[in-house]
Amino acid sequence: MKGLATIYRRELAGLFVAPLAWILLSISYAMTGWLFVTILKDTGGDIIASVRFSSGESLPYWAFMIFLPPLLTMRMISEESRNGLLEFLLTSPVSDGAVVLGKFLAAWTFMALFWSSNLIYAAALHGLGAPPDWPPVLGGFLGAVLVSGLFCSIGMLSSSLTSTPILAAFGAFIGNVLVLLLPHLAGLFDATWLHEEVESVDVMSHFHRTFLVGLLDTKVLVFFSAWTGFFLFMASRAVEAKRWR
Amino acid sequence: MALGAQVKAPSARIVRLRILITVCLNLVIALVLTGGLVWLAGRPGLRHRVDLTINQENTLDENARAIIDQLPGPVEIDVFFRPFGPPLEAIGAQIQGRMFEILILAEEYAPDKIKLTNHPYAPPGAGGAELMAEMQRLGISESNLFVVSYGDRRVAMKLLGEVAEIDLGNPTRRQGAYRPPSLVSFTGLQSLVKGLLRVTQGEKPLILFTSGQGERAIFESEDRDLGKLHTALVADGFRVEKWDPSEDGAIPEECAGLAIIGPEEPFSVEATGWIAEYVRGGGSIIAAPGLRLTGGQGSVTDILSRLGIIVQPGIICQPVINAAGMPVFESPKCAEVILRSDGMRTTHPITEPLRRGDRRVRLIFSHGLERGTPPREGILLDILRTTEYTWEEFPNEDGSFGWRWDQGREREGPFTVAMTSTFPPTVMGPVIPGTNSLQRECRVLALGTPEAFVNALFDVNRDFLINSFNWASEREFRVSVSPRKLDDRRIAVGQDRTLFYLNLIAIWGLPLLCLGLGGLAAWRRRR
Amino acid sequence: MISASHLSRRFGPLVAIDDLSFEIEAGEVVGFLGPNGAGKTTTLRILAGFLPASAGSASVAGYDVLRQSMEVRKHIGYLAETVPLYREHRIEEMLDFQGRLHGLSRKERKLRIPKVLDRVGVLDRRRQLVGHLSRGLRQRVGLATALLPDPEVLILDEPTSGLDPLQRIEVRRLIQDLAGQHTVIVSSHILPEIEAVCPRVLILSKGRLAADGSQEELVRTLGGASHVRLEVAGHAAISGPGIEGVSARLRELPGVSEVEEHSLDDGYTAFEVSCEVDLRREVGELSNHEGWTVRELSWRKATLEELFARIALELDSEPVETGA
Repeated sequence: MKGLATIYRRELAGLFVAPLAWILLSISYAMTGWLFVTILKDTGGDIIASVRFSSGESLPYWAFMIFLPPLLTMRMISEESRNGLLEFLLTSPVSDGAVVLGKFLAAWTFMALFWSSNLIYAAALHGLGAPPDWPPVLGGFLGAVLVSGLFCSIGMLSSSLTSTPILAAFGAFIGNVLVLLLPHLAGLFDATWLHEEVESVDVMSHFHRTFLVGLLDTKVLVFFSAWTGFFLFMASRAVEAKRWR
Repeated sequence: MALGAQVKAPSARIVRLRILITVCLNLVIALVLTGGLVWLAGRPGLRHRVDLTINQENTLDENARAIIDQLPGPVEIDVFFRPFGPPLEAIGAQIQGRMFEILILAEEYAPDKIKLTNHPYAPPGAGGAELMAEMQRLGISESNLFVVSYGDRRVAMKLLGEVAEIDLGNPTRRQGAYRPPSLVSFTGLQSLVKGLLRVTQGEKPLILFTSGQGERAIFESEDRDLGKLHTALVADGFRVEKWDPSEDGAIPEECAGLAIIGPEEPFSVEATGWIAEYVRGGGSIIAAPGLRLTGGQGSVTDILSRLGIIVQPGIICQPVINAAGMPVFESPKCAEVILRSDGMRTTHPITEPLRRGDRRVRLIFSHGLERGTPPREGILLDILRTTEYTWEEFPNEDGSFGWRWDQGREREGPFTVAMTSTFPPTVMGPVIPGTNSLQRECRVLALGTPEAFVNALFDVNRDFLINSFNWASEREFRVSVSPRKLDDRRIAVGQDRTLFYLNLIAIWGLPLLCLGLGGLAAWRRRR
Repeated sequence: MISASHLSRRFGPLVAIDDLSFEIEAGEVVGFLGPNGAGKTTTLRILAGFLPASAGSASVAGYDVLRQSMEVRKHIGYLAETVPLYREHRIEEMLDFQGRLHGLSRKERKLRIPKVLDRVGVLDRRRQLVGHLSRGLRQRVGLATALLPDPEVLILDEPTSGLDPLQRIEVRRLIQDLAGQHTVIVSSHILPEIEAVCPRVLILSKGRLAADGSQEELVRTLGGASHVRLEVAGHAAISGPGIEGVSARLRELPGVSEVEEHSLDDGYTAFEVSCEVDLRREVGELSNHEGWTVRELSWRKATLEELFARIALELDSEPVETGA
């Protein structure tokens, strides 16, 4: 547990002592801020619609989701496995799982920071005398963070499978695209059972149906946690496999 | 891990095979565990949902649950949603999403009662043909609706109209400022309940047309008869029969609506008593006085006045506009009144769809209707009102009509030509088969003229009439599910300060803060 | 403190180490010597718990490296050849991270970090970014990281590679300082590094243990390598007992195991008298007594280098055990 916290702290520090993370965050905030104000203006000041939009109802955010987590996770394992830092970590009194989990949590924290912009907008509206319906706003935030967690875990797996960061980023990118476009891909085939199966693992519909409309559903919480856990488990196995190779 | 303890080393090939197997086994176990966990989490007993919205927008309400509980057997719901074209993409997707969520809620609430099937779009090459066949089987030709089927009964509920109403806004900026399409009302749950009830009702609702007092004939095809109305009602799932008080006796209990269309003679005392009894028990009446407007005991005028609706003697007229756009008077054609959307009541289930569809209602020789005293706790609503360019024509002393507004003698519009009176039943009558008895309401719809129902005008008035009969006979659909107001919160973005602050925070503040922090981090590193 | 028995490790078809067994006592400083690709790094990685062995077992500080990996990791300081350090951190931050990883309390970290930094001589640079350091400084910081948790066993993989001669001397001195307080394993493919700091040497070749023992023992056991060289003018050989006669007289001296003679071009004859101890006095007295004209009388001590070269060039295929 202590080792996990140490790894997490280190990764977070590693992210934020470099200006890159801040620049990424700044660009994302500028984009989401502009979208938020534009939507607010276009809907004639509809708070619910704008905040919901900013919680990831629309595609621009998920297009961002395809790029941001791979950029964060690509270095975490793959570069360290190349420059020997992974060897250093794996010979420290810290378990493989803690290493993977700590790194994942750091990337996840960054994503939560990215989504927190929505909470700040909602708070700003509140301050300007138009309080939003807070529980769904928080629910939407939670959902968006969970979805990005899934994307980050895919990134971790990809990062642990190769020691070339660019390749890791590309792999994670492909993985994310697959996750997003799974239902559309399934639509190309003519098989009802396939459509049903795909629908049961379709990330976006899970997100849209629950968190985004202000519904907390334990099934969906478990859905996201379980799949995130799955990818993290596979990532930690892949790290362990590095010992065997 | 056990590999390391081996004393005798196996060949490299076996080692690699073993590692491969281990990896695959790991993958499979993890997949199974994950899938199992998700599956477990979806079990009804283990699944919990918390609706965070202030209006509980995502929860089936008590009435809807009660209705689903009462369903006699499995109901199939087939969903045919397609992306909307511009400018409705976003709002269309929202409506689809919310409706689908409600359908899923219903299915999850009672998986043994409701079977949901989604039919996503499939291109002609890949499953499109099967999709077309499926649509044909269900008897639909368009998309963006869901079909509720029970046995061989089915009803299609359309997204635009029945599920939600939208305001198109001003997306093209052609007139004034840009306004995106917006949702006016969303009644997804009501539409679902309505569909469920419609297909599972044990009996088709029975509509009785009175006869024997000189009413219009329901089976005849002459211009002034009601044959077309009869056909349309049957097609819409009604059972239509005649009721002659002198032959049939009291009104049967299963009667969902009594139509009294233009009787020229008053009802007998006995028949009047039966009608009163029927109404008191929660019955519905659609009535239009005869052209001659006979008064006195047992007449339509008499019956309606007791329900709060007073029929005026004059005939509502309106100048005819000729080809040059000039008003023309002194023509019997002035007795024809056309009602457009501005004369229809908003939010009333009969007229609201007509307003949206920009339909008209044509009336000939219509009397005006006035508010009287409704029964206890009753509500009177004008649902059709003429414009101020109408007048109430009275016959001259010689009995002929001048078809010209006599300012001194005749009032000018607007006049009410259709009115509803609703009130709670005074006697709890029998449960009408197949309907929901959670709450009952007496419904009366009066029209100023029987001519609105006749074959000659039926094609124009069709929607209005069908809506009227549906409204009168399906009271429970609307009442059992209270419509929910959308949570609508707005901020006045027109105020420059508000926008200024939002811009300051969202577009400039946060990004610059991050840049600043990044710069600080970099600067501190350099030291 | 460290024991390995029958360790083997394969990478697919490649056998990196093959049936390696050795014991290292607490406080020893041991050098792993071998040409590139001999399996040094693999062995050290197995001991550090990074790689599992394909067969055999090893224990460090009494813990099995495979089953009690976590305990082993707590008791070792391992510095890989690449000197893995986070470039974006300051030196003290890197050490703080290592301290946290090893569960040192805040107080301990505060106390120990300046101490180890001082020991490797980078205390005054502790706020510098690791990424800006030279190779030598990085090596020292890496050593500091390995030393921070005060491990019982220090495993240093090629700690002097890439350093300039001055830096090497510093690192050597540092390792010599550590002897006695820690059990130290140093690997190198450069003989003088090992010769300078390690009393005991394990020579690896092709994944097998080629030699194990203290330097002196190895040299002595390999024998034949030390000799007294004697150059005698040619005529003496003719006038006296002849070349064979000289050889025979030399062979009679106590402690001489073998004598080789080579005729030199300028008329002299060189004799190489193999012996374990310096026999120059005895040979000189013999020459005086016999009246040989001696041009050179010298003592050549055998070196580890020769041994290493022989092993590296596969002159000896059988492992040499001297029993340390």
